[in-house]
Amino acid sequence: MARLDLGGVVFALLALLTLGSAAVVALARDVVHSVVALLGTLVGVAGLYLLLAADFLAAVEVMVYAGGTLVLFLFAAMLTARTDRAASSSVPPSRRLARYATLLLVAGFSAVAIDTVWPTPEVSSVPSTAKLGHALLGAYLLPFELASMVLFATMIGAFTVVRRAMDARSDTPGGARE
Amino acid sequence: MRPAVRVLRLVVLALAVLTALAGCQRDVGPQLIDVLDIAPREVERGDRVELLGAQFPQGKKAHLTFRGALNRAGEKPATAEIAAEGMASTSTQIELDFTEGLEGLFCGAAERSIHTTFTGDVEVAFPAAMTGAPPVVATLHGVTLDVRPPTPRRALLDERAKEGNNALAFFGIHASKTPPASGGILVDAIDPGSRAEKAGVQAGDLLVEIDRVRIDSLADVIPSGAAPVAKLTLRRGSSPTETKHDLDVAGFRATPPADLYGAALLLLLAAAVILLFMAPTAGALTWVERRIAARMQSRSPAGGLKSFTREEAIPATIDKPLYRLAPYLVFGGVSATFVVMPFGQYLIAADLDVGILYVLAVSSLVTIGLVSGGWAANDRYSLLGGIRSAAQIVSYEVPGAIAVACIVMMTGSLRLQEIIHAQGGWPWEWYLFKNPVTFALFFLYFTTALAGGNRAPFDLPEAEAEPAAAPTPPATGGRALLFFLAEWANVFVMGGLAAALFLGGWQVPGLSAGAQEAHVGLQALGALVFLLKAWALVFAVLWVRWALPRLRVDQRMMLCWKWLVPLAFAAFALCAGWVAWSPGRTAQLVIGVGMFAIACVGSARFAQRVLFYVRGGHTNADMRLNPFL
Repeated sequence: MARLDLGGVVFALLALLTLGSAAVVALARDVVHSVVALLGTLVGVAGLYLLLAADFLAAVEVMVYAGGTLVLFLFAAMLTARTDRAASSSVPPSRRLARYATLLLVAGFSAVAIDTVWPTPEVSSVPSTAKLGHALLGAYLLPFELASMVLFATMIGAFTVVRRAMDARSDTPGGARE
Repeated sequence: MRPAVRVLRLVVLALAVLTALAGCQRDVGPQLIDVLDIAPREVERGDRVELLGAQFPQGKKAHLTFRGALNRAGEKPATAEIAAEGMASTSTQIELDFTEGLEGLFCGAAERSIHTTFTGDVEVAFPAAMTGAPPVVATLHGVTLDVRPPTPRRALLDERAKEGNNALAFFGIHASKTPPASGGILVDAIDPGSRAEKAGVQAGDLLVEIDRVRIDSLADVIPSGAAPVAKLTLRRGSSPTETKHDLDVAGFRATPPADLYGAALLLLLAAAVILLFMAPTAGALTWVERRIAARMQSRSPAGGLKSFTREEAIPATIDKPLYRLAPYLVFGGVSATFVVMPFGQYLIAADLDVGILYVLAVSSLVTIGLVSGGWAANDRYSLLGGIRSAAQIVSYEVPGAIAVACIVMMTGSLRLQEIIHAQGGWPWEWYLFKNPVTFALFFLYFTTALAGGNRAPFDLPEAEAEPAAAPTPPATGGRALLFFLAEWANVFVMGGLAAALFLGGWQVPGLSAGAQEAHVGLQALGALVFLLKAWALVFAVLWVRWALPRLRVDQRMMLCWKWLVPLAFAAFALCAGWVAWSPGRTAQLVIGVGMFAIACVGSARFAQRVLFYVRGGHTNADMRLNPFL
């Protein structure tokens, strides 16, 4: 029973961290605060992965999302936000519409959550990295390569778009170098 | 647009090839042979395992595949598919040498190999004589194979025996002090009302098997935890028949694995210990740096204590919540890496399976701390400084991570202890001198670590010449101390990781890992060796700081993206080639010793030049100081 209790407490704390940070993300007036609060959500979710014995996934979650995506968000937020901090991150076009949509969404999710029989899989604490590696480079090699191809194509696409903007700018006098 | 179209065409072509490759299937031939039995059922390293059957092609090689579950005491069964190569010595018998490598596949890597019971099927396949024809295949079902590694680690064995004792106490079983010669555990007495009594165990019973693991010692009686009921097999009195009993083990908890669940708890515990270790490290480092700087610039050192005594002053214009949070993010990110820092064989807080990946993950907290610190200062120069330094960290992470990936690829594990084990004590056994590519990778990794830690010549936050100065200018008092501790601890982390990845970690030259762990003194010596290597690298960091000019921000980005990233990719491809080639032991030794010799000659020449310039170039007596401290 001790294990269950400890797991329950840890789960509750992680859920609190995840949802609390998510609430800050949604409600903070300063967009930079929102982005930093997102870190809490990501770390919380990584903790939940850890609780489900997915250690590799947890580490990758923190590395990719906190280390890469979030830093990019921060860049974008800081470079676009005004320094007087008056800008709010969330300006709903119609409050009433938003309210109804949210209620609908909450009702829908609740119904699904109540109806679903949640499976409680046997969590084995055996490290998962080696198995994942074998799976990715064995049975799932094709989807894996496909995903990397898609990412590669995206990168080229982004480069093309930026390149075109840069070309257009360098035509005007006083534009960017190169 | 045209190049994009060309690349798209290439992508489509590559996809088509991949699909074609995936479409290939292996045909299976008709049932031409029979497999009836495997003997012996209990195997040790060096044994010869025999598969008995009929109509084997004599003198032919047989591909054996063990498919099934690996059962180990206290672990959930792991599914496995193990391939081996046997030889049909007669038409009724296939011989298989149970080698060390095969044992490793069954019992786990040498470090943590334990007694394992395999249950499942064995498939025998003879490749067809004609090329392209399907192989001849037969399968033996329901095989139980008990594999026992010869020298399990003493500490591991003791630990498991302790857990076994706990398990027996939990069941309510008192074991006989004298173990029976036939193996198993003799029950002396049963606690009334205990789980064992409910399961029908009696005094005098011999425990033979639990959760499919043959019981040989106390270390084997730990239930797997896969189900709330353990399957217990026992023999009563002198009767040869074995009976199965269901033992209620719900609620029994083996000590949490250091890998996952416990890691979170250990992390908190370690944080306290780390603080104790980190503070003196950082303190000593700042003193050392001042000494070295003074030596290199031929002046007397300034005091270092003044930074500790500053009062905390919070400017009114700052972004309070972020200002408060940022130092903790930076400090937390750096100190968390100490959790997997392998100071010695056992001097590691948690040897995580995702070890080096974990380091890369928690380091990302530092980036976010730096950027939000710059933002919190609420002045555009600090913000610019923060963004620049974050851009630098994020950029240099790419070649750095690829350099680490190369080492991981050559080791086959993310675990730091296994990366150290893959090297040796002597310099020519280190990854640094394994081949020219890893030699270059070490310097690439070191460069990216310098940049990642905002160290010179990449130290933008300290660049007086830049209008954008430190990302954390208003941090004072305790907060400044946190940033400051983090910065210095980061230098040590950098040195320690490089020592583990490239310089053989804690291994003492001339001693095997086994010999080293046998004696506490030798283990301490190992920790000393590790610290020595790490501190030598820390010295190199300080040396670089006072010897090289600082790079401008665009030069840094150019260096990273136009040079280091392509070089890292090239090194990755070359390393993959190296792994595929995998030179023999002698070839590796020759390459290692050769590389080491070249490096020795190179550094001797370098020292000679430096001495020449220091002695001959100047008449000033102060310049005769030894630059090497």
